[in-house]
Amino acid sequence: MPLNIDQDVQRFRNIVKGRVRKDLKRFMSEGEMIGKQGDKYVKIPLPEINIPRLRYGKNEAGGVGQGEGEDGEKMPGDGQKAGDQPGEHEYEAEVSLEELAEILGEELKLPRIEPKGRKQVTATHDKYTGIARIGPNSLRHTRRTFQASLQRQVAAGAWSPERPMLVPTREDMRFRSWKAKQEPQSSAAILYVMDVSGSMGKEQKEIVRLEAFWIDTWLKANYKHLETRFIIHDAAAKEVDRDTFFRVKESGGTLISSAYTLIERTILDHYPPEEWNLYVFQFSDGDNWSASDTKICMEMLRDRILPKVNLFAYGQVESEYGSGQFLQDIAGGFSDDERVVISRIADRSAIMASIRDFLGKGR
Amino acid sequence: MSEDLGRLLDHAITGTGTVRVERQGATAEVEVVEADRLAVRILRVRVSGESTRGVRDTAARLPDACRGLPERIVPVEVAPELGGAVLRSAPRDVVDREYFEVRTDGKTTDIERIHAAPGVERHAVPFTLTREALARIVGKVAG
Repeated sequence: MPLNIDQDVQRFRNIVKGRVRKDLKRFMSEGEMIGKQGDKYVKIPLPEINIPRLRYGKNEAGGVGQGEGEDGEKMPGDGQKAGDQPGEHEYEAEVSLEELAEILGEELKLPRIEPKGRKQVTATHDKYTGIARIGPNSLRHTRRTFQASLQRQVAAGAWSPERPMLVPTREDMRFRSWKAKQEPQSSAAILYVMDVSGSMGKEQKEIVRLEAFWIDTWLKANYKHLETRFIIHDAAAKEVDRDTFFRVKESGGTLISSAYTLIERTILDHYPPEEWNLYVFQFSDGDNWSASDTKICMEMLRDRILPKVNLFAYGQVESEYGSGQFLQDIAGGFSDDERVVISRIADRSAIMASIRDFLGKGR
Repeated sequence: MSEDLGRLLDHAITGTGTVRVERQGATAEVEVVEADRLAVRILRVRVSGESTRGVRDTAARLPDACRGLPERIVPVEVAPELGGAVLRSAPRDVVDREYFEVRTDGKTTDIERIHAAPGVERHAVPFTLTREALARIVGKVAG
């Protein structure tokens, strides 16, 4: 009789998914799952879910009222009262990043991404597709070998149904053979760009970190091969690793054109636009140093960056000092451009809407 | 010299409008919204001088020079390579999205109070200082 455990596990997975779905906005704005992220799974704390389990006692321990002592005797101890509050049970459920992306897609009604109609990257896979007469013994195809042996014996009139015996000779040997197959594969690269000038505080960076996690999760579910690069800038731009990206703090002024120059160079050096689906996500508080630099940025964006990318997403994170002018500048110059998405992120509660803004176009 | 500039400014403020005083190469310019015997309501203070300190040094001494403001200011962006620095009220002092902003290029320093409501372009709003505090700030910034 088959065990029902698979059914129970599935039922439990559905409960977990339902809970994640219900609290998605909270998870998106709090980021407690991100700290427990593995390569393929995230751990999600679900305090409301208690896992029922059997607990075995000791057979020799007796039962209620079986210990030493007389009737009416006080129990030893300092007389503390029993607690009247429920204890805290926290269960951490593992959810795969694919499941998370699926929930995200369903909840935010995100369209699947359509890769650009450009040449796709091809990857080579070895596939066993045929039979050869020579090959290593490790690849010998037993059934086909005996088939060939049978055919030979029948053709030679040496086959006797009364005394069936097959002895494959060297000519009967058949081996599996493979072909290298070129398969199209959509590849994507994300360039995260963050303003780390003095006006971007810790909270603003945390918002960017949360956004980046969800964007990563969604794009990973849409592309088999995804590369991620991180660019920070104040008055100068540089490429850093993920960890540095979210931790570094500079105190310099904001020169957004420095980041745009590095974006363009990174694309030209590593990601030929005809082969890659490119996504740029830029986060800033919008306080560019000067109007003249903003003008340079707009020209670079129009002439040198947008023609190369699927999507240019600009998220303006508000700080205690409000929000800068850059968002209005981009909105003014590119409001009709399908490739440009802008989003104002007032605080953590705006992350969900911002993700919908960024990924809702299906580009 | 710098204290004199502050005192000179105090005497020059008699009503609304832009007041400008100059002393030994240092200039103070104040846009006055309202003034009485004790206090002045201001839209902007600008102090210029012949300082040779440079952006970084000027930015480092401005928090102390502007101690007369109702909120403590801290350097936010210091960019000598861009020729300037921005100082603002410390984040924990920011209430109702209003804060002081001090900009300097090493020679000229502007002090404003900024209102940054969501969805509205940032703009300067008037703020009030006692005459004594204004004179002290102008004197110290010029010095």
